[in-house]
Amino acid sequence: MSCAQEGKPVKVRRCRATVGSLRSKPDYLPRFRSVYPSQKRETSVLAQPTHPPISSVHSHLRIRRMPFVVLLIALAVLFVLALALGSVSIPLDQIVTVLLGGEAERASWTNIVMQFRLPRAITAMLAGAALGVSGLLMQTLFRNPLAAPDVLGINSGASLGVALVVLTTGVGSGALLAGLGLAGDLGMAAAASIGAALTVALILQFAQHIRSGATLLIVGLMVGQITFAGVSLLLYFSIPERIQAYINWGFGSFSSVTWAQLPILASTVAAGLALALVMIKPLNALLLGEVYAESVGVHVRRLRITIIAATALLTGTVTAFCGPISFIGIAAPHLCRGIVRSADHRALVPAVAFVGALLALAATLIAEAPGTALTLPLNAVTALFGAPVVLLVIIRNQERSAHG
Amino acid sequence: MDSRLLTAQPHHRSGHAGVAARQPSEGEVLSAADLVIGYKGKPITQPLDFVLNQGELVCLVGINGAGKSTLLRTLAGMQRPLSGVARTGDMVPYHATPAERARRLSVVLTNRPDVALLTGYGLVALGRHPHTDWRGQITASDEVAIHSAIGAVSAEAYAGRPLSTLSDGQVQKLMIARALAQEAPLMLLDEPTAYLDLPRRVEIVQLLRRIAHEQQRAVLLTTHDLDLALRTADRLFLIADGSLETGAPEDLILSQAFERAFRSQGVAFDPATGSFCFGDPAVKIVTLVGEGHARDWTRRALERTGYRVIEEAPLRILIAETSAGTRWQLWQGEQCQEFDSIYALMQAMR
Repeated sequence: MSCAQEGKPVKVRRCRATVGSLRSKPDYLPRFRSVYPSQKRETSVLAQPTHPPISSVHSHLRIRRMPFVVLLIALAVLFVLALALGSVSIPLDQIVTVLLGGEAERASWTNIVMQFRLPRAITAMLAGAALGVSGLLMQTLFRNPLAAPDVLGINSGASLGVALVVLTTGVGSGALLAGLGLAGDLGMAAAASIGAALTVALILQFAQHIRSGATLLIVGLMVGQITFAGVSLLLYFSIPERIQAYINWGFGSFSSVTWAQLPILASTVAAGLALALVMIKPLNALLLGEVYAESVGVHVRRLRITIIAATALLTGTVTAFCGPISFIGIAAPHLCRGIVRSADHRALVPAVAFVGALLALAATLIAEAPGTALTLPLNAVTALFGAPVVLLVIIRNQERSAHG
Repeated sequence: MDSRLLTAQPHHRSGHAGVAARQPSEGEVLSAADLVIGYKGKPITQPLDFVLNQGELVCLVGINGAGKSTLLRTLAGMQRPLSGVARTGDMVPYHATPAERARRLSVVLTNRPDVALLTGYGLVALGRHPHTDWRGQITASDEVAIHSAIGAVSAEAYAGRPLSTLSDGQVQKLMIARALAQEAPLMLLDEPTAYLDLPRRVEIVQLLRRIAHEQQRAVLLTTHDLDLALRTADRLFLIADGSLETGAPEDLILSQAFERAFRSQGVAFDPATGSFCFGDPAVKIVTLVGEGHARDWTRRALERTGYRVIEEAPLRILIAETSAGTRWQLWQGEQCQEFDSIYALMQAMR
């Protein structure tokens, strides 16, 4: 154990002193509480002719904060735009007034912002963050860049859960989620989460044998088909109003979540994100595969169950409230890796949450088609922008395996 | 086959009591007592007893299917022994939690990890997992360990680059650095050189040997490269026909364990040279006169073609250094043919 250190006792002491003295410098995001010293003069004490200075380790393991600043600003801008734009444009200063609790010049503006746009924007951010993070979790779990809740058919599983509750219990007539009350909302979220969890567990059974990304896609497609078969049967024996409601729900929307439902969505998403944050260290170990993860001390079975639980909570709840939203889950992690240029989940998990929220906000903004009275189906928008990302990933992978 | 093989008990705890009584000796890192390995209740070895000591490089060799990887996986705690027990210190790997295991033993496998955007430093830092807090925060002592591990495998020049831009040999060195950074007294490597070219194989095994000696770790690796194992290992574990022979490579050659293990595998082991002969068993005989490398390589070519080199044979080959280069003269009685390459000579002798 001690063999590596015994040879160089002096070095250890020097390094501790150096890092300790730098620890107090508020040079880093408080989020990560980094202890990496910056490239200060003191570190050069450690630089020996045969080794690079220790600081080279820091600079490679350190999380850059610049991307987070950019993401935060972009998110803030889109959030304000999501409140300002739509069939009616509202001036920015009026939005600020409303957000600060004041009354806008026109009463309708206050009403629009508070009753429609604000809950929609918050829902979009929560849902986007949730889908992005579950996409990242799936990609790490399956070690497959194409894994994502929608690709794997996980939100189809959640849909089946929702369909079972709504189409069989007879609760909710007009809009799918309207008038279910708290118990109904919770039941719906639970049913969707259970459906999602069962789907992940099912796919995990196949995953042992799946090496290529394309095969995983096919498995996801088939799982989607199976759940769709279940949904079709339920629809077939259902009444027309509920069928219509189910179809509308299937287009995906961030607009149907009410202030009363938001706390449920927010707390489950928060729980799922918290689980993901707790798993950051083992997720990093999982990058090398399950055998290596276990060899560095990860309880792989426990980790798998936690990942399934987190994904089910995140995808299930979002699907219950917003419909099966496609492509955000797969696109967010890829865009995010391009932005933070790291495989480190300490950076990826928070960044993916930001990017997912961003994408969802952007998608609802586009779906609202500002300046017109139209509202496009959300899934049409996400697919339009998300499908090219998937294609790009496939093509890039093909090229890499062809060269490698 | 030992009769005990058939009665091997599937209860993994059966060996505990016997082992607890034994006192571990100085420098002992891992010990196995009555260890039977296998899959799904089917034993592939007799009960094995052996110890691994710190500061030695041990190569585990044997024909395919002899159980090299199974033994390694069992020692690593990834697989349950059918009976008996392997322990490092007071820990039984199979029953320990992954976290406990990770502090005692590190593992390197054959396959090359393919992780987008992961750098060498990031990879080596993963080895610090058993030592970091729940967030995986890298502290000063972790940095020292990462740094010295990278130094130990001389990977400073490329440790900052993404893995996807590195060669197989470079990635494997970083994987070893990752295992070093784990600071476990025992390192288990499954075919770490399988995909590498010859110079890289030699380099990796020499590196592991140096690590074992300088850092006083116990290093056990499986390999198919018998030649390299014979030349570099401090000790060989030769697994054949369900039993394990251990000793210095030279011991195993002298005791003819090698010959027995690889007989009937299409190769014959030559105890005189310590090398393997391929091809047909030598039935034809020839006398070879000459010296230096030319003689060594001619002899090798002859063995490949099915000749045995002896002192007095009717067929004689004379290697002559002429001003025009090396010439091979093939004498049969008074008849003589001359060749300017081994290839031409072999063509004539076939």
